[in-house]
Amino acid sequence: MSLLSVRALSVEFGPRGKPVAAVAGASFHVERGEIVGVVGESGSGKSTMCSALMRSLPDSARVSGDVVFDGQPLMQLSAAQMQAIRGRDLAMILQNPMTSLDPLFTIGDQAIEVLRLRHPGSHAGEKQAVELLRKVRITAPEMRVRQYPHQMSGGMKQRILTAFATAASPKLLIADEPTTALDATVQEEILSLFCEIRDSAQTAIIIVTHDLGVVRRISDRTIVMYAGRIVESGPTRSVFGNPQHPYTQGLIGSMPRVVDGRVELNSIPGQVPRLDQLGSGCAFAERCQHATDRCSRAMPLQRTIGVQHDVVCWHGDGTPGVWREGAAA
Amino acid sequence: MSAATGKPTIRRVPPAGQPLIEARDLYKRYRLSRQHFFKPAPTVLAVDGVSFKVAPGSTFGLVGESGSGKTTVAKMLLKLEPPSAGTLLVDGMDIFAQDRAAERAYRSKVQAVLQDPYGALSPRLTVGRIIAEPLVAQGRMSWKQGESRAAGLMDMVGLRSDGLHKYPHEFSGGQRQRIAIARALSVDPHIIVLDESVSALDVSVRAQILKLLEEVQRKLGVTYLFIGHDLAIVRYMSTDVGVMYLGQLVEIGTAAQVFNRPLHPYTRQLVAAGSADTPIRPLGAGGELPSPINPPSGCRFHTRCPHATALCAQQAPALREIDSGHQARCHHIEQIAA
Amino acid sequence: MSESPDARATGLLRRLRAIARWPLRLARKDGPPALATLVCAALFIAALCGTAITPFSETHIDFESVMLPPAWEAEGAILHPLGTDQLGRDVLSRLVAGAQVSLLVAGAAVIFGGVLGTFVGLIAGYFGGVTGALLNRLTEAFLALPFILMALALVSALGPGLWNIIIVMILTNWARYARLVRSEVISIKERDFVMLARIAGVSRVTIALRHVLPNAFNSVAILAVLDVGRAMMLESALSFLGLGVQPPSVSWGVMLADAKSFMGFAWWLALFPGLVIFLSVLSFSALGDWLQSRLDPRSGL
Repeated sequence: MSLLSVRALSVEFGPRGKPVAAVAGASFHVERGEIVGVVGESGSGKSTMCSALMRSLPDSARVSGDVVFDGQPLMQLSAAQMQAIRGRDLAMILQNPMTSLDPLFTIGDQAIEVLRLRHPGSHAGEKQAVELLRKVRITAPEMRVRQYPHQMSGGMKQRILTAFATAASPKLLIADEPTTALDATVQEEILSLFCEIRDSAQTAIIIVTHDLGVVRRISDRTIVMYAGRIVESGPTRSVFGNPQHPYTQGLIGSMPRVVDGRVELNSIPGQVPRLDQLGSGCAFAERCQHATDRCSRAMPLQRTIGVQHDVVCWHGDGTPGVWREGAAA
Repeated sequence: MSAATGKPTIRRVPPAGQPLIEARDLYKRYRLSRQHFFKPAPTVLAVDGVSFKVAPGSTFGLVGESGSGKTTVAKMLLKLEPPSAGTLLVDGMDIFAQDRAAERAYRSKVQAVLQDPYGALSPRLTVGRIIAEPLVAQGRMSWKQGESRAAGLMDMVGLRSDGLHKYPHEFSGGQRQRIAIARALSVDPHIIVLDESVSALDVSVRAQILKLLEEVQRKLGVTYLFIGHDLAIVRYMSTDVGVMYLGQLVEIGTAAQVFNRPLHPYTRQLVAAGSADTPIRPLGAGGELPSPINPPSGCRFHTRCPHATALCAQQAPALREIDSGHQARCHHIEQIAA
Repeated sequence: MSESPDARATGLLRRLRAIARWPLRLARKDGPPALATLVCAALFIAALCGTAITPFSETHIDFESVMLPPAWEAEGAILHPLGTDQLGRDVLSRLVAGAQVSLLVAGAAVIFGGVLGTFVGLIAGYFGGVTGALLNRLTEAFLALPFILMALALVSALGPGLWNIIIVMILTNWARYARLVRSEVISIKERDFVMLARIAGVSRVTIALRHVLPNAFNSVAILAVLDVGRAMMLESALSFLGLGVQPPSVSWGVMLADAKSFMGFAWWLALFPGLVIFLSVLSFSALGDWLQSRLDPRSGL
């Protein structure tokens, strides 16, 4: 049984007559010890989806769909039950490490607070806080626990936040843009840290990011989102090696790559449509060079075209496609 | 061809071989606020002996992480900060030895597009005014004339000119960056400083803007100083590249040289980190980025270098030429390359 | 190439339309609090028309109708809906006349004090240096002075009276704007678009006026609206102490001072001025709050 099983998850905002779907009909699963990368740009709904899983969306959000986590129906749990799971079995690292730590308390104080919450009755103290920092390879942890967040670099803060999130060895860790604000070499360290967490505690990780390079290197499976919907998902090697959805192809093509000693770059024409202006068909149709009438009229059905490789497109059929700079829509 | 008038530009091209931009031994020292009553205020050497040349119409890429000094170099080129030592020549002239008239003329030679599309446009001005402002500020034309030029510039950057009367908040990040580019182009500059100009944008928008910048360079012959931390992008845009670490240039050469055959261990690390094929290695003793206030002795990189020896901690290496035009700052290049 | 008359007409039309949209914006669901707007509107009308709209003037003495309670009381008269005072003067008319004074004094204090303070703050924050430091010290000095003492000192130097009160209010008020604007300017100065304006060759003064000041405007507007209420209250306090407007001019503070002696049995003489002060200050505060929630960062306009 999957650790996390999501079926038709939707998140709507706005007036009931004219709702705007930040996430529409997302279905996917995460197995134990698996790293899943969720890729998408602004407006794709990836962050909203994660907040929906944590049930941390504002009350104005209307969430529907089926989510089963570790055998429990997540959306039906009471607030108290959810509180018990959150932080222990299900943890999340938010987007910006710069603002996630309270500037008024030392690292040690915040670590102790986290430890006491995760292991109630354990009377965690400074020694345990030092151990926590050591676990994520922070140098000189005895000194660091006495310091304040503003004295730490971005990379250190991210590692500390990761340590907090994994203090109780959660079954699933959701990391929202964990490497975005960081330098390249520091990103490496965070990715190594994630691998180590997965290996040592069998923690499954969902990494939400717009950085395809990161997803390609670390995730076992990849989910691509566009305008609130999952358009393609599958094993990373398959999705990157044989992308079926034109958006995925365009996205991969948008990264500069070396071909025959020259660097090539393709761009997708147009912009991401506004979520409140979507039609009944495929949201990508207006930018897609393969689009036909049917694409704009009807939402494509999900098709399986490889081993667990799904795509939501009328034209995806498994044959390798090449994205070329076509005529703009 | 000129962006502003649409007529062919008579650009004063420097004599063959002479670079458009030449930096000679630039230093920049900042004094920080005093920490201790009795100790002198700490200083940071943000730029430490940087020299490079940029040919007209080419793109010079400057790569580095935070604290490397690349933004300080940009600020010096934009005359926002004077260097503590060294000279910066544009078109053969020392830009920090200019009289008022030459300084005003300089403002029409060099423009910039910065990182944050949401902070770069004045929220209370219409887009037309934002684009026309440099023209009006430099006394070249009136607001009305400027705004009609702005319409043409908006077309050039791929925006609809009916947006002239709209305000910045009505546009997306990518569109705002296009507006910023149109504004930079308004005075027909010879040089545009692009400081992380696509870093804050979505991947697909990034590609569009890069293509736009390419097209602009092709059509107008503008020279770019392209600053970034994403190697693939810097590689795509640049003719020549300089890699900076803690204020020093650790490697410099053509883009092909530096990326196909990186010599300096830091460059090699960056290239590996950027490559999709590099497996993720287990957590090593990578160490934190040293503080620029107290840089390591000898070779600045030795605390994070897998090839460091005792010599590296004692003696700072100088920039040596290894291949035609390809230089690197390391004692052990030959051993590493082998 | 000059603009065609058609283009100019369209531009003008567009601007007029934008201005006309303002009342509609006010009527929307997230428009200003209804009661507060009503009260402020009533206040403005009262201030504009003065005793032209009341049956009596504020100085009309009528010994026949001395100390009449409000109309709904047993001995009250319809003609004097809120009663009369010890000289037979109509309370309602005096309230309206008082509104004129209160709004004039408060408005002048806020506008002139605001303009003065804004420019001091702009110079101190943007240009900095020795001038900036000096202006900042001056601002802090004025902020440190207690209001009542300053008012007392100034009134004893200048004498009481309407215009002197306005001067006193301006002098005691400008520093708050200076402090606010200075801190706003210091943070706006660091933003990218200011740096880009320098790169474009715009002169420092133009940058200060075109880019920095308008973006500090939101905060100033919010402070100003809240300030009107505060100024009204201060003027009332001054007048109550006898330092404000002198008879025959009337202000709410003066009415309160007069009513002090009669509070035991002529409760209406103190209640209505007090109520009006209370409602006005509350309404301006509510408007200020609403303005703050509307103006702050979201739309950027």
